[in-house]
Amino acid sequence: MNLSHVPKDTKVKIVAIQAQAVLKKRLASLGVSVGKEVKVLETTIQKNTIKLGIGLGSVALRLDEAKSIDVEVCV
Amino acid sequence: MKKIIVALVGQPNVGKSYLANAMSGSNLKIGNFAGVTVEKATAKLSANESEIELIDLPGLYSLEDFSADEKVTKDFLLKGEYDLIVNVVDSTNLDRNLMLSIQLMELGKKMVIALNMDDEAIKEGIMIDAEAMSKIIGIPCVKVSSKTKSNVETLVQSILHVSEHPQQNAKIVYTDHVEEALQKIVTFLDDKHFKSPRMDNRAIAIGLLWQKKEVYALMHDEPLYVELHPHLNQALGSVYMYCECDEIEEVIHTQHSAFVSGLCAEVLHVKHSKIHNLTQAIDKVLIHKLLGLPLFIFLMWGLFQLTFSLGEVPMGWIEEGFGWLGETIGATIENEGMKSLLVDGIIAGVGGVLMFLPNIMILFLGIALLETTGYMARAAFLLDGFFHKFGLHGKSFIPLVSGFGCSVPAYMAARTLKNKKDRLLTMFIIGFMSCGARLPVYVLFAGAFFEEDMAGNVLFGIYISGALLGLMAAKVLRVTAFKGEDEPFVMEMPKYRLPSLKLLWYVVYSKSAMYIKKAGTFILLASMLIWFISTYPKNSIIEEQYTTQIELLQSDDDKSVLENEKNEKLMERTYLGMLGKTIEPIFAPLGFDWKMSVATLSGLAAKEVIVSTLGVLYSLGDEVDEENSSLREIIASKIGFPSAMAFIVFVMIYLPCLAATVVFAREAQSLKYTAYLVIFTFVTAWVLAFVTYTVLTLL
Repeated sequence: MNLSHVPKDTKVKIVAIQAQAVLKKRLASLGVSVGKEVKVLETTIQKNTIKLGIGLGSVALRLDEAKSIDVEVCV
Repeated sequence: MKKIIVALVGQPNVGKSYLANAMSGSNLKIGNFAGVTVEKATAKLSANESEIELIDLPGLYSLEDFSADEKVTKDFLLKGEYDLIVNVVDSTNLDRNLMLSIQLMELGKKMVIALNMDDEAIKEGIMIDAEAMSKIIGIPCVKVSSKTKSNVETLVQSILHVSEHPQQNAKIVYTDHVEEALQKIVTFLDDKHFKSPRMDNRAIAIGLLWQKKEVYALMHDEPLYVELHPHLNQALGSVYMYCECDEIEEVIHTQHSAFVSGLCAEVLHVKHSKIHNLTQAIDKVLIHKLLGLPLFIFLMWGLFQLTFSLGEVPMGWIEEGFGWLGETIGATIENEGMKSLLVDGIIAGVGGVLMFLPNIMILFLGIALLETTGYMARAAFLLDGFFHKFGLHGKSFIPLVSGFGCSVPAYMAARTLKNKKDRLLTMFIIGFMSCGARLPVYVLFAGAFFEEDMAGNVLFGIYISGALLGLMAAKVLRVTAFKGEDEPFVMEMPKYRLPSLKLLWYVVYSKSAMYIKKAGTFILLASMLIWFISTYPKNSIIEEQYTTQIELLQSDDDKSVLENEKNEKLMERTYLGMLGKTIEPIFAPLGFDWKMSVATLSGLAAKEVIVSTLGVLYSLGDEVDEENSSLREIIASKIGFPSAMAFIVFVMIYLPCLAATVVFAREAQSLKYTAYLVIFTFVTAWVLAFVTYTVLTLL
């Protein structure tokens, strides 16, 4: 499952990121990297953009970017 | 006195500028979103007979060249002259911030870590054991709070201590096989008695293993590189094998994350996690699926409504004040020429601009609030989807909003955009966001042609239509001139913070002071120049002709008509009149008379000059008309509605002032694009003003 399909307020764990190296590094420096637990907190009305909660902070992502992030639901 | 140069480095939004201010008592600009500091700024303080110079660098998430502002910092760290790094860290987001700290530690420079925002961390139940942390990483870590100024003195002492003592290496522990590989390279360098003035051998080994271009560049010119090469190859091979991956970036990331998690486990204790409850709760409303956008539009509308309605009252006072000043001074001066210079030139020109000071103050207060609370990032979040359709980036919103204040910082704020094409595109349409200097023109015309209770809405309408035009222009440019791939949208959403009153006051005060200074210097000179070229050369023949004709007339009405005609004729024969008559044909299809044409041209120097030019031109021509004393009333009576609207449209779109154009050229690093900008804005402005004039005339 990729992040774009995750319903709001569900805790998921990042298992892989299929993106270009530049984007991958940027995501990592904002705290979005493999092994991290994240939660979709808000989405815009057309679901173009999502707000992701990671640890103590939050990050905004476009849905296109979310599609490149593979996750699994935390138990 | 000894001078110590300190580089303040940290991720965006960790309070670097705030800390620099707290340490030095100076006033650097502060905001609550990435990219407020786009150029390095300095502040100074002295302690223990040393002078400490703080260099506040743009925030960066990591040492990669992601965007232009981040590159400024990286270049400085690698090539600049400084004594030590103070890494400012947000205590409430320690693990993420430490990812940058490690990269900084690997640079092998003297360093101090400032665990900033300690007050917030305490409130959120976050405890950091700074002492243990200092011991583990071998770098002094000091908990500070810029807000309460606690421990700021301790931080200064740590800086002095570190700068006075020889460098102690930061202790980063990697996994065993990486350590082994590093040790092999270090041993080789030591055996060869290799020493670099810039870095120690372990830092070089790390740089080589991590394949940092700068370190390779440094070593490549060394004769020993030939021998080093096979050792390096072997080391890399074993690291790849043990880490089971073949990309060095991944190895680095895994190594760093492992160290950071280990460190956090040792020193970070979160007591009760009411994590950012407030921020998340506010976000639930402010970026709500359905409410978010309407709320945003309402806030913007409110800002412009306030700008007009709150500003209206003091504006009236200032206007009356200058009117009174003009009359009083006019009555005391005998010499006609001197009197005209003072009253029609200086007081009308400078007064006309100063009168809008209250509006400017409110607008800048509004923008400062947007910047400092953290709402800006939310607006970018809300608008990204919409902007994306027009080929823009959500982050473009930030420079665009700054553009409402002034185009100059807006062009610089565009540096946060990574992609060159996105950046240029954003810069091209920044001009569509009407800057503060255009506000006087709008307030003048909105007040002249609309009822008072409508004027605020008109003002909002002008700004919104400017923005919408900008979006359309962006779309056109995107499919024509700036085709290219989209930049990914990944942005931090900072915590909401209440800005301090002191800070808000400072922003408003400095902007107002700048405006007054501009009115007192630049606008003053421009007004005098305009007065001069619109008064001279005197034409005695016309003067005599009319004077005899007027004396022959009986009724006062006829006299006043002729008097006005005389003044018009006189002015048309001055230098400015001649210039105006020459350019009038260009603007005639837009319904501009020669005075408006001249004002448009003078507005290139600075947009406020439009108002002062109109003030000088119309007050010179209307000396006899006692009833229409205020410029607003004169304009309402002299300019037709379609012409006035076309004028607003033209002013809305055409080139921002010369200063901004120069900054554009510098930021775009291209004369070609600057020429495009000039042509593009003029042509668009002319065409749209023409359409406005034609449509309104037909109606």
